[in-house]
Amino acid sequence: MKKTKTSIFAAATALTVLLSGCSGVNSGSNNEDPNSGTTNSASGKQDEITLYTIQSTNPNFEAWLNEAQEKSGVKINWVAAPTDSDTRQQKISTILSSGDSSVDILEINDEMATSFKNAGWLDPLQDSVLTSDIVEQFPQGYMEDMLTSDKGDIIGVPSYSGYLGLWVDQKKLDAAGMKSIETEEDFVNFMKASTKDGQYGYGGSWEKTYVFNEIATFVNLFGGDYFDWTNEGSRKAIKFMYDMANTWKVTPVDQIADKYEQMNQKFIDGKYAMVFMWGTGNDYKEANRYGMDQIHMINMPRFAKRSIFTDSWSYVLNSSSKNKEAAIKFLKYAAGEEGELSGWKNFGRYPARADVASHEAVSGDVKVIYTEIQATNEIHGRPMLPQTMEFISEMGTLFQNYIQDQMTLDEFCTKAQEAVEKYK
Amino acid sequence: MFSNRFQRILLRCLMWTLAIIVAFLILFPLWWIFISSITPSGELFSKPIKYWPVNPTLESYTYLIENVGLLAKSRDTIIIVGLSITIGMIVSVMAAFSFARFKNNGLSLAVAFLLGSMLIPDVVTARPLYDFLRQVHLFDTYTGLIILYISGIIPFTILILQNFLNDIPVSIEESASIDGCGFLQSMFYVTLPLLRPAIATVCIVNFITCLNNFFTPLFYSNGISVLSTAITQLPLRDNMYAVPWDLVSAMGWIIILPIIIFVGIFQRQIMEGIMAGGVKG
Repeated sequence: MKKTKTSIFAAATALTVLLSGCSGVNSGSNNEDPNSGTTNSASGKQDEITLYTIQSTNPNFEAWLNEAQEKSGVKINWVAAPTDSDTRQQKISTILSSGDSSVDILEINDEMATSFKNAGWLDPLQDSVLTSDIVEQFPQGYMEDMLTSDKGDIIGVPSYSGYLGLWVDQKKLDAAGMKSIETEEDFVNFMKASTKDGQYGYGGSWEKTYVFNEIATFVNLFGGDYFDWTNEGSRKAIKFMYDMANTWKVTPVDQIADKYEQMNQKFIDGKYAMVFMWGTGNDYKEANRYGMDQIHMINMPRFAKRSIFTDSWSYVLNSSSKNKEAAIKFLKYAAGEEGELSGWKNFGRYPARADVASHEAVSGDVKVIYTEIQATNEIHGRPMLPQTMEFISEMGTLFQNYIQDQMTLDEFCTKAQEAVEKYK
Repeated sequence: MFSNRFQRILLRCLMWTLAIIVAFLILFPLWWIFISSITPSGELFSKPIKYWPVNPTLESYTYLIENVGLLAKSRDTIIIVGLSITIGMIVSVMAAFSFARFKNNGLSLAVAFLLGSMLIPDVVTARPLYDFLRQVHLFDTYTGLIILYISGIIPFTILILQNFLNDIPVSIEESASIDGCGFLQSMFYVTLPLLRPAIATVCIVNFITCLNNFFTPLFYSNGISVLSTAITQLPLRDNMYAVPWDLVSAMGWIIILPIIIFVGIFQRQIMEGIMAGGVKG
């Protein structure tokens, strides 16, 4: 009896201790009572925002955060966003659509920007943050395609620029007796020359949700329009990809199962001579395959024109935010030179602003090629529609059917146009 | 005679073959996840496939401990799961006792509602609950999450405990009553000790259920993060399209390891409890 009572007492005490330890401490954010920071001189209130970020698990996040707080004069609480894309989009959609004011600034990618920019959930920034002198430094095509709503409002501050660039294996280029790939003819010749002994001239990730990037890239290079499949350039692009796989056999059809992980590994292993890939080559660096004599990025070839896609993560302002004044201070910092340079320094992300990219603090191979691309290419955001993933997936399925001879070019173009109309 | 022996051997061979196939189907993915977690990211997709990495490394685990806040997430998990199971069990025992010992139409309807709630998918109630929790300031709080976890485990717990209680003769409690026990004394000193194996079993099953719960902490909290959702917060690599499979695999092992250990230790109790408390025809 005594033992039972003692046990009950011990359990109750443990429960009380546990409950008392439950307040305000959590592991996915730093939303504690602020004990430092700056104050708003007009109201005496502390300038404070909550940032929904994908970077919190990056080893340099603390350094970035401290710098951002110091330079913007705003105390930044942060909440870790899921880095898994489906989960993240679901969470952010819920936050924005429900009028949740617990988050002021969010980091969103191209897919989310396309889905949200006309929904009225994000505040326009052109009057407060992205004034014309700042906007003109960002890639114009990208700003128009991705971050400008139908009403003409600019809803996001790009935090970096990442090109879907052409990466080549220099050894294979040398073996083909070529110095560079400047034209469509060079591109085809290199593919044909490098296809031998089970190796291919071109590698792709043609899984149905990934191939969209390559289709759109070729459409752009041929001067087509991804939303118009009666356009001759669009038809040429898709026929070109068909010929690569089936007529010239310079790329394997079985890559319709490959995503970037598989494609990159094959490229690293020497199975491919060139690929289109995002980023600054970290995968190749980790595999000791990066360098001007190995795998490196080159300028886009000129088919009908030189054209390249860029992507970014952009900071956006939640319309329901109750800390807009502080949020705008942070956004001004993020859109400024210090903010862009901090992204480069801490996360290795190439500045989206041309003037910041030319800063001496930004250096290395990537700067050389990015500068050349900026000077010679049309830079665009990818062609996306509000129901982004559904559209991408449907187009990918059509492409795979066409590549596997399950439909003709005309049938592909007709159905692709129907998909455009359906999701537009 | 020979034929019977041969049949026995054949049957045994068949049984072992099936057992090996089933074990392989279950264990191979776990093995694959494990070796992926100790393979450097640059070697993950190398061909030919390697069933043991050339350069095994614990870097992924170190990275997770240093950068993903595993210790804090473990603490949050223990707090939420521990309190949910404790409070949920207290409520469930009392409810199951009432449902088993007192019979009327209202209580039968209540049981039907409770069990019926198990059939409603989480996603149906997600948005209204999200708005509700925000309005009552329980969103992203331990209290809010614990309430949701408890509501998730109560129907199953009551179902099992009620079936156990139905098998305990009422005459025992009546004897205790004749000996001078009041209602609460009879419940605590007579019925509850008999219910102990069932409570232990349900606690174990609830522990696993709560540890595996992914949707609730993901949807109803931002800052509080438990182990099951940590897999959604791994860092993006050079480009945002490549999944960091080495980290995903390491995180996967960290999440499932406690469950494997727990089930390994308590598997007999789990099976016995579920069999004994199962719904009878």
